[in-house]
Formats: sequence, structure tokens, C-alpha cells
Amino acid sequence: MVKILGFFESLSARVGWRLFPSLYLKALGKFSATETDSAWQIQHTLRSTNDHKLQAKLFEHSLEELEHGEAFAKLLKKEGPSIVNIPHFERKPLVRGSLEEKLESLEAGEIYAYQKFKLIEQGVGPKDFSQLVQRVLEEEEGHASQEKKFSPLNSKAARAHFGKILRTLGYPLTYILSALILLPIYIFIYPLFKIFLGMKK
Amino acid sequence: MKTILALSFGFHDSSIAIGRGGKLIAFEMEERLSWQKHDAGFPGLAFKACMERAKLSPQEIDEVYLCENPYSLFSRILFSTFQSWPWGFKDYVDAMLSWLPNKLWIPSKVSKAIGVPLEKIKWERHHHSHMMSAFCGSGFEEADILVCDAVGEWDATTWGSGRIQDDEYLFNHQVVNEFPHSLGLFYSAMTQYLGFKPNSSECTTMALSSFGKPRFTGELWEMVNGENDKLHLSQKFWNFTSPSRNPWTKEFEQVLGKGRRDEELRFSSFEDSFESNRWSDIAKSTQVVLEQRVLKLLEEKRTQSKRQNLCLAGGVMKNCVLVQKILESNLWQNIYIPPDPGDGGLSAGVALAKSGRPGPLESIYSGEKIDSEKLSFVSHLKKKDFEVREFESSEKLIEKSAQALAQGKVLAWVQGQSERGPRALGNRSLLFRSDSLSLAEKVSGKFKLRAAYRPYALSLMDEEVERILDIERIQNPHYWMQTSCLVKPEVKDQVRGGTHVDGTTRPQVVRFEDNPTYYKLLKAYKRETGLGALVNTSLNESGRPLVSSELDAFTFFSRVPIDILVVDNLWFERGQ
Repeated sequence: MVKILGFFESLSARVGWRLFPSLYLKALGKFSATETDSAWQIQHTLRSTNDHKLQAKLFEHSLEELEHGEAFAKLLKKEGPSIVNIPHFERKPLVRGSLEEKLESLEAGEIYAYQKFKLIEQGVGPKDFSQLVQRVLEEEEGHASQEKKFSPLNSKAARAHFGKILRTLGYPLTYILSALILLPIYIFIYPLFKIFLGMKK
Repeated sequence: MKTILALSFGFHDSSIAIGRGGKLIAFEMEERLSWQKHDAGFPGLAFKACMERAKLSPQEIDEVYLCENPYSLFSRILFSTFQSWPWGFKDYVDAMLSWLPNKLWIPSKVSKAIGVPLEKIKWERHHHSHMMSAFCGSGFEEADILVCDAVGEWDATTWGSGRIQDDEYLFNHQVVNEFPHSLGLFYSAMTQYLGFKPNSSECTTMALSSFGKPRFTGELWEMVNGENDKLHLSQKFWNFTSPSRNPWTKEFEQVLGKGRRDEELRFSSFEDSFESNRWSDIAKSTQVVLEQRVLKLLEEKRTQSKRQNLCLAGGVMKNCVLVQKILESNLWQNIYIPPDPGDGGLSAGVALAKSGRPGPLESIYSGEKIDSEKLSFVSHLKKKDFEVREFESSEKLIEKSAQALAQGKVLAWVQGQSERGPRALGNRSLLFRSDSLSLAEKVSGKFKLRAAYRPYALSLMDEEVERILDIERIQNPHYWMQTSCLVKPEVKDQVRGGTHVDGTTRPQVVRFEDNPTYYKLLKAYKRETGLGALVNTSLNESGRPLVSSELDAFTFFSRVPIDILVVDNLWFERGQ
């Protein structure tokens, strides 16, 4: 399932970004927001422990993620329009539970991000993008175990991540279906309202 | 005594406030906790934080208020989609997808999210909430109120009054302008036209206007003027019904040309000589038209009112140059603007108004409280390019900080609870000495990463006002950086780092009773340099909200190469 999703994501990036450059710019904004969200999740976990060594490790990790978020935002600024829009996320802890569960969640996120970036590392976007993704991958290697594969069966945390991925991927599909359902109302009923409002005016 | 919870979200600057007995017992903006500037989402993090700070359970909340009528707003959204037919299909689908499954059911969704029964969920109209935020906390017994923002439900400009009777707030109001005839939308559209982010970078348009000449005022005035000189934004020039398109039309472009895209603006607030260009002239003209329209309205209303007090709210009132013009007009004796006149302050206004006996605002430092012990982990960091020192005496810490500032260091000052509203007022501030233009340039270019044409502001002790500022008397907006004002020419060089090219600054006049620690820092700095004024800018990275917690502050310090971070009694100094 994860492989299939990954395949579609990679395909949509390879084809979609070439056909519609705005999708590439949107993806940059999303990568930036995702990395920043990851930093936020890490600092949220940091607050759940009193182990200073672990806190320090998590803090350093969060700085790396922030740096990645900033790098994608800079690339967007360089290649995009003068007004840069980084999407806002509904910010909430992915997992509310014990420290162990939160740490598991972080690991699941890292493994997923690593595998996703691996799919688009080469030949998808412009040269600057590939270089940045390679740099991110090198730095992520320290956090994501490369032997492990992301699977929703791994843990509760991985399932939570999987749910988030499905929701993200499901949105375009929902949008297209909804647009098709709403189209007849727009074509046939809206003109009546427009006439009515015009008359009232 | 009622406990009231008010939520404001869905447009921008989400926030939560809890009021009891006419006092604000907790307040938080979602952006401070989510790291997303102007966060519009449901303030779930802020809700949790406020409930913890107030030590409340959902059962103890008597009433919950939303700061907008969702159904009235939906009617306006529908109207917009009708208006843009047949070319607004995308906007129609976007609106329906956002409203049909979510926003139409806001009361029940809020009820579920915060664990309060549905029958306790109520709402106030958006502009009525603004009026509450403007009047409650002002300390006035009665006042006229002007609310001017982009749009709330249908309202764009509202005029009214507030008074206290039998321990209750009473308001009356009338709508002056309805959507789409909005000064807020006009200014935002022009901000976008100038190549800045609308609903976010309006202050950049204002800053740019100081470099321009008002040579397009006539054209712009015509575009916002209707019959009998009333505000009227004709659809011929403006498009506010289809958000996916530019808010200006082709006819607008025929008059003023295409909007700015990649052309760089080379103005600097740190150089006295400059030549205006088309963009700065358009910014100036936009500013002048805004000022003229607001002052015209106020002059009209002045003839109908005998009240001596005026309260102002709405996002437009964040425009400190406009506020300066209103103060200088002397139409009203006393002017009050709440700490956050924009949407971020709505919840605080409603919580204050609905929760009991009114009184003046107690403190604007009502956000997250820092706990420096939570930074104990820093000694375990692998990469450490700084030294840490703990001060037992706050007097010594203040002395040391003042000395460092006098030596030209850039110092992040983090104390107590964070400020309410958009300005850093001495508890989450980045400070540096005011007489060094090179230092100001360095802070803009290296630390804040912001355009050089954006000026800095000054914090000064109240006893320094006469020496530094060219004002007749101190009014409330001077305490919270809400108005610009002229700096006296004889001290210009001493505060040039905190003044704009037009010789103005946006001051924070600091009184001991408002913020004793910050006041003492200014006083100690005066002992070092002879001047009780510092440049004070918000402690945040470019594009991020003001830092909130001790961890946020330390994250800032780890990412931005400033010299010193002071968090409560902890001193972090970067090595040379």
C-alpha cells in the first residue's frame, strides 16, 4: 500500500511538476511546512521529558528540521512569485501519549520522510531542488533507520502518520469529486440567483 | 461571577481569552504556540494553554462566544460567489468545500472540541466584538467608537458608542460601510499590488510610503469615491468577490499600470537621501487616501457627538501613521486603542465585556510565562558556541545587560509573560543602542532579514519623552507603539537607529508601573550612555510570530547569530 502511494506521489511529481510548474512551487511550500511541523513535533516531545541528554538531542534534531524548512522556503522565494505562501498546518501533536509513543511517532515520520525524499531525489525537479533533497537526505540518515521500512503495521504512531498521509492524498480526489457534484448547481441554479440579485439591486 | 470563554478564528490571528469578573484571567494567540504567523486555524493549542493557566475545566465555563456570526458570514460568501458567476467556479468550489462540511457547523464543532455543551455556545457580530475590544479596558465611562477593518460578516466600517451603566457595558452601533466598500480591503489590495503579502505586510506599504510623493492620490481617490463623496469601491476597479484573482481589475491597470512583481526596491531607512519612484509614490498615495477618508469620516462624526473620548479598533488602526494623524487632528481629547486592535484582540474584548464589572486594563503582559529552568538541558548540547551564566540578583543582570547594550551588543531580552498584541513591548524584545545606524543595518540584514526600508522603533523612559519626542502630551497609543510621532531634531543623531527617513519613530513610552524590569533596564542604560532610550524590535525570525516560551527564545538564539540572550536570570553570550 505504502509502495503504491509512493509510486503515485513520485509519478505525480515527475509528470505534474513538468506540466504545471505551479505544482512544483506548491510542493516546495508544502515541504517547507512539513519540515517545520516536524521541528515543532520534536520540540513538543522535548517538553514531555526531564532527561536533559535526550532533550539536548531532540533540540539539535529540531534545529536541523527548521533549517530544512527554511531551505525549502528560500528555494521557493528564489524560484517563485514575489509573494511567497507557505501553507499553514493544523498544528497539533500527532500522538498524545507516553514519551515512548511520541518518540516512536517521530521515528515513523522520519522514516516516511526519508523514503519519500529518496523517491524524488533524482531527476524530478530542477538542479537546485535535487541538491537540496540530497542534502536533506544526508542529514536525515542520522535520524531515520535505513533498514526499517515505513509501514502502518509497525506501530500506533506509524498508523497515525499513515492516516495523515491518506488525508493529504485524499484531498485532491475529494476536491475533484465535489467539484463535479457542485458543477450543475453552479451552471443551472446560480444564474437564477444572479438574476434575482441583479433585479434587487 | 460568570466565567466567559471567547474564541476568534477562521479569518486570521486566532486567539482565545477567558474572562471572569471583568478581568482577563487568560489569553493566548494561536500563532505564538503554533509558530505560524497570523494563524487562522482553530486555536486548540491556545485553548489548552489558557485552560491550564486559568486552572479551569470545561464544566466551569458558563458561556462561550464566537467573535463572528457564522451564518451571516456564509450569506456574504454566497453573495460573493453569485457576484463572480460565471468566472468564479474555483472560488465557488473552494467556498463550498470549506463551508458545507466544516464552517456551517462551527458551533457544534467548537462544542465538541472544547467539551462545552452546545447551548452555551453563542456569538457576537465581528464588528460588535471589535467595539468591545476597543472600549472594554479603556477605563472610559463613555466613548465614541470607530471600527475600521477589511470585513466582518458584511460590515467594513462601523461607528458607535459605548458606555457603562449599572456595572454593565452598553453599546450602540451603526454600519457606515458594507462589503465590498472597505478601507481595509483597499489597503490590502494596494499592498498586494505593491508586491507584498496582503493581510500581513500592510506595515511594509506604510513604511514604503515615507519614501514617496502623493502624486497618484487623485487617481486612487476617484477609485474609492462614490456619490456625495461617500466611500465606494466600484467593481470597475476592484475585485473582492473572487479571492483566486487579483483584487484589482484591468481597468485599474489601465490607470496605474501592472502591479510590482520582481523589481527590487532599493530604499533604505538608514540613509537620509533617497529618490522616490513609482512604487513609493503609489504607497504614499495609498496612505494619503486612507488618511483622508478616515479623517473625513471622523470630522463628520465629531459634529454629531459631544463625547471627549474616542476608541479605535479594527486592523486599519494598526496603521501608526494614520493614528498619528488622528491624534494630531485633536478632534477628541482622549484616544484609546486596545493592545491588539486587529482580529487577534477580538476574543479579549468579548471576554472582558461579557464577564462582569468593567475596569481599566490591568496588564498587557498576559501571555505565556517563561521558566528558565526548562533550559537546563543546554549544557548537554554538542555544539555550543556560547557561555551560560546564572545571575542571582536581577539588579546585577540589568546592570550587565545595560553595559553590553552600551558596548553595541545586540541583546534578546525575555522576561515574565509575553505581550498581548502585535508589538514587542519589553518582554520579548530584541534590543540595541539607538545611535548606531550601522548596527540597525546589521540587525536588518543579518538577524531580522527584513527590507532596509522598514524602520525600527524606540522604547524610552517616560522621563525622556520631553527630550526626545515632539508631542504635546502623552496619550495611550504612545505606551504601546501604536502611533508614530516626530523626533526632536536636536536628538535625531542619538536615536537615528530607531527613526524613519521622515524623522518619525513609533515609540513605546515605558512607565515604571507598566513594566518595572524593563524600566530599570532603560534606566541602567541611561546611566551608561546618558540616554534612556533603546531600539526595540520584536524577537522573532523573519516570517515567524513573536517568540513565546523560553524554548522558542533559545531556538531563536541558536539560529540567529545575535550576541546575547537573556531569559529571566539566565545569560547566554556568544563567543567572539
